[in-house]
Amino acid sequence: MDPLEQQIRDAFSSIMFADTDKNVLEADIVYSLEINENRADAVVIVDQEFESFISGLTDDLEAALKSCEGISEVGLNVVGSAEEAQKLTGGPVESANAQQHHDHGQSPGQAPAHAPAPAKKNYLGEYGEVILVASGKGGVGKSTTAVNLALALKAQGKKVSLLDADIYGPSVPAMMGSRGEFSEVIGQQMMPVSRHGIEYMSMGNLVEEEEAVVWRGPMAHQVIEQMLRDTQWPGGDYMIIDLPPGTGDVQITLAQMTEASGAVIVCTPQDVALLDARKAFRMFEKVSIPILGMIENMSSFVCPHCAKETPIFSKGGAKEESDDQDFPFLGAIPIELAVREGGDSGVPVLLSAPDSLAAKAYGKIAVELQKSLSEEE
Amino acid sequence: MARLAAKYRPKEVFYDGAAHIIFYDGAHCIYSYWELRTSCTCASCIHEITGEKLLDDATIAEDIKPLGSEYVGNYGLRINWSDGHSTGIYPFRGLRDKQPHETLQVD
Repeated sequence: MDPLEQQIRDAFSSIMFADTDKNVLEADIVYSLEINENRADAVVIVDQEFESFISGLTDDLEAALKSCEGISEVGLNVVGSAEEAQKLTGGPVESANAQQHHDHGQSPGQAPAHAPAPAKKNYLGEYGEVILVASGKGGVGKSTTAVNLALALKAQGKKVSLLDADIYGPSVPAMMGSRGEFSEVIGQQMMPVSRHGIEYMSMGNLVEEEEAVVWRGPMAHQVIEQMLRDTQWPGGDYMIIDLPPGTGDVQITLAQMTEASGAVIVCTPQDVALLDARKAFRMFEKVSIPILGMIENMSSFVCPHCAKETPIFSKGGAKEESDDQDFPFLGAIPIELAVREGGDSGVPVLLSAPDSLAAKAYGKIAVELQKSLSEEE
Repeated sequence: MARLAAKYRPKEVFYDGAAHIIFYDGAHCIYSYWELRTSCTCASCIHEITGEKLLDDATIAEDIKPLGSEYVGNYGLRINWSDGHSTGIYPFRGLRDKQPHETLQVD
C-alpha cells in the first residue's frame, strides 16, 4: 500500500458513519476515490435513510482528505445507490472500500480527467507528398517552376495536382491555359480545373481576372482553408503548392494546416535573391518543414544566335548557397525564350518544347526531388 | 541535411495528469500542465512586440488541464485548456529544448 493510501485509510477510519457505530470504511460507503496530483475526487454512496447526515459527512470527508499530504482540493459526489455510482464513474459495480482507482476513469460530473491524444487536422491527406514551392523574393519564377515541375512529375508517370496559393497574384491559370474559366461549384464543394492532365485550383479561376483581391490576412487564411478543405481534390502522388513570395500569412496557414513533406526554394543567382531565400529557410525551419532543395532559376543565358553564354543574373549562386546550408541542389534552369513563351501561351515549356534545355532541366529536377524525398523518409 | 531531427519529431502524445511526449529519438518527456499553460507564448499571453509576459501565472488554477489538443502542421501542438484558452501553439522544438520537463529515456 502506498503511503498516501495508508494516510487516507487512517483518516477515514476515524470518521464515524452517521449515527451508526461503524466508521466510513467499515460502513463501506466510499465507492471510488481518485487522486490526481493535488486533487482527490470521491464518489460516496449514502442510502436515503441517512440523508440528514450527508452534509456533516461530506465536511468530515473533505477535512480528512485535506489532512493528507499533497491533497489541497477535494471533489465529493454523494449518490443514493451503487447503480448511480456506477453510472457516474462508468465502471462496474464494486465495493471500492476506499481503494484508489489508478485507472483514470471519468471523475464524477466533470470533463474527462485526461484529454484524448491530440487530433490530426491536416488537409491534403489524399496526396502521398505535399511539396511547397517557395522563394523569399517575388519574380524569381516560382510559378513557372511549380507548373513545369508538376508537369515533369506527371511526365514521369506520377499523378499530380497543383494549388496556386498566390491569392493576390495568381499566375497558374495563364500558364496552364485556363484564363477566364471558373471552377465549378457543386453545393459546398469546388471542382478543380483540369489542364494537361493536372487538376489545380487557383484564385484566378475563382474571381474575375481584372478583379483585384484586396484582403487582409484573416481573409487570406480563410480562402486558403477553403481551397484546401472545400475542393474535391482527386488525390494522387504529389500535390505541388505554388506559394506567394515571402514569409507571410499564406505560408503560415499552409504550414499549420497541412503536413507538408518539404519545400523547394526557387532562387535567382544574385545575392539579393539569395539573401531573401535565407529568410525562407528560417521560416521553414521554424515550422519544421524540411528543405528538399534549391533550384536556381534564370541561371544563365545562351544566345540562340551566337551560342555565347551570358550570366545575366550571375550563375551558380544558388548552388553555392545550398552547399553552404547543406541543402541538396536540385538543378539550374537556363534563361530561354521558350520558357517565357510557354508560360504566356498556356502551354508550359515542358510540353511546348520538350527538347529545350529548360524542359530537360525540369525533368532532371523532378528526378532529384524524388531522390531528396526518399532520403527524407 | 535538411532532414528534421528525430529529437523534434513527436511519435506519440498522451495525457494522464501530465503531458507526455515520446519523440522519435526515443526520449519520453513529461510536462506539467500548469507549467505548460503558464508558458503559453500566444499573443494574449506574451506581448507580440515587447515580448513582455501579459499572463499573470497566479490567475491559472493549479488544477488546469487539457480538454483536447491537435497537431499543428509538422511542428507543434495546440492545446485546448480547461480555462478556455486555446490560442497557443507549442512547437515541439521549444518543448524539447526550452520547456522544463522530466525525461524518461525509453528504447
